[in-house]
Amino acid sequence: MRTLRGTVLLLSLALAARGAPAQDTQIRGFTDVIAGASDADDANAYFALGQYDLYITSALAPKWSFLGELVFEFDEDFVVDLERLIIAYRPNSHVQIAVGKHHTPFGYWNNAYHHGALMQPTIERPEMFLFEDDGGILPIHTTGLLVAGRDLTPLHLGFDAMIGNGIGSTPIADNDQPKSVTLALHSQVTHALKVGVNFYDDHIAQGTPRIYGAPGDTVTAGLTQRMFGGYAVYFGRALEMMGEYQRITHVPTAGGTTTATDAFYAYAGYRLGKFVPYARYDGLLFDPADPYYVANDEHLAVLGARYDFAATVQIKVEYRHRETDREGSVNEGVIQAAVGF
Amino acid sequence: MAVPPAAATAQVAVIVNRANPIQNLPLSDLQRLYLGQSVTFPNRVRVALVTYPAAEAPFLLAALGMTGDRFRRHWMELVFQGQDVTPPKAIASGQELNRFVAEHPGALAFIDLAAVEQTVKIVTIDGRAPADPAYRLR
Repeated sequence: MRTLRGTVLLLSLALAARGAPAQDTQIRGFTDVIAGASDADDANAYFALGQYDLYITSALAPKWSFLGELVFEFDEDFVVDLERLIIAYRPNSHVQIAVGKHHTPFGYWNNAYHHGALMQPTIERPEMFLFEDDGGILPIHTTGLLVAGRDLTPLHLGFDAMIGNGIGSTPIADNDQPKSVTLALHSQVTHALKVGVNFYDDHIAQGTPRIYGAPGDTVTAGLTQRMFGGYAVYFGRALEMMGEYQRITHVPTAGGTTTATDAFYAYAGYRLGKFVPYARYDGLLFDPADPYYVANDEHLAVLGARYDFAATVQIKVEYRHRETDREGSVNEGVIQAAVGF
Repeated sequence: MAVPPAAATAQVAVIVNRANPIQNLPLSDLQRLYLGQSVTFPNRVRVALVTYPAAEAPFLLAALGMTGDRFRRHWMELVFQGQDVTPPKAIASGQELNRFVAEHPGALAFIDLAAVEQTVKIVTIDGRAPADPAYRLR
């Protein structure tokens, strides 16, 4: 039924776009297909469809624009997720005020690649930026109000300030009164080098399900989550380097011990024409006493290569070695064909 | 004055509207503009980017260190991110490109030097003209 509703929604959007050419509405998309095998217990070699991502941009009127992003993916059945819905007003070329469902403006990866597998330098997102419904530990999406600036001052500074529904909320309601606040400052130092820092603050309500917890395992008392982090990203003529770090602290509202979790990744690649060999290392290091995360330290090493047949067609191949507290050591080989259309 | 792409030389000039007060662009500004990291000239006029397919490969390589595919992927990313950018307009005809630049105050284009018409203005890059042996877009 959800599939039918999604199809109807998509057709409606397409017809609406065709009927409004003056608004300069465009529909684009991404998708990918994966094959893989691992040495995990009971794991079978597999083929898998990736996300089928459709995004729509529309210049609504002078200074007003719209962006919507729908993802079709398999979750017991094919379902449709509205990943982004943004109505933006831009009083000038440097500032925007936007409402809707955004990717929370922390870090680099989370706002550069969104759900487009073709765009990503590796097959999967870093562990720290996995989507919420894929077991991610960070609030990747936020519904609320964003004020952002860019290319300001000779230092080419940018900023993001966002207030929105917090952890445990839905796109149509929040589960507690305090709102999440995200602040970010970044600089496009050169055309190839970008750096940034961010801060996130939210209240996690009692009864919110714990990350990695068993069904029914919830936060037993209210918490304040604060996150500090930063990144440096360099994409030169040949050399590609990315590094991101976030420290997430949880402070019991009623007083008690503060816990801290560290999440990071480092990526390096080297372009040889259309061929880019690369490596990535991810880490998630939890405080065993964390009241929101069920600790499961993870280390992931990725060795891979990608080949760009065109701007819209790409193949990636990876070997991954993952070690977690719960599952132990797993080796995996994966190949992905990713396209944009 | 204009020559068809097939007869064009490999020497690339960066041109703007004659009413645009800029005479020179630092290479770093040219890079930011063609990558959509800046969307206005220093005088705050909004940039309208143009590419000239016949000179695209040498320009992108010299200015950005990119192939055409990588450049197009980069612009797909910007649009997907929801940024306030207008992708470059590709104009294959030298005459049409000169006309577009002459008619749009914010136009910024590159074209074979031999195809530049009197209706537009060549800007220097890092203070050097296309004929300069140290010109950065060779």
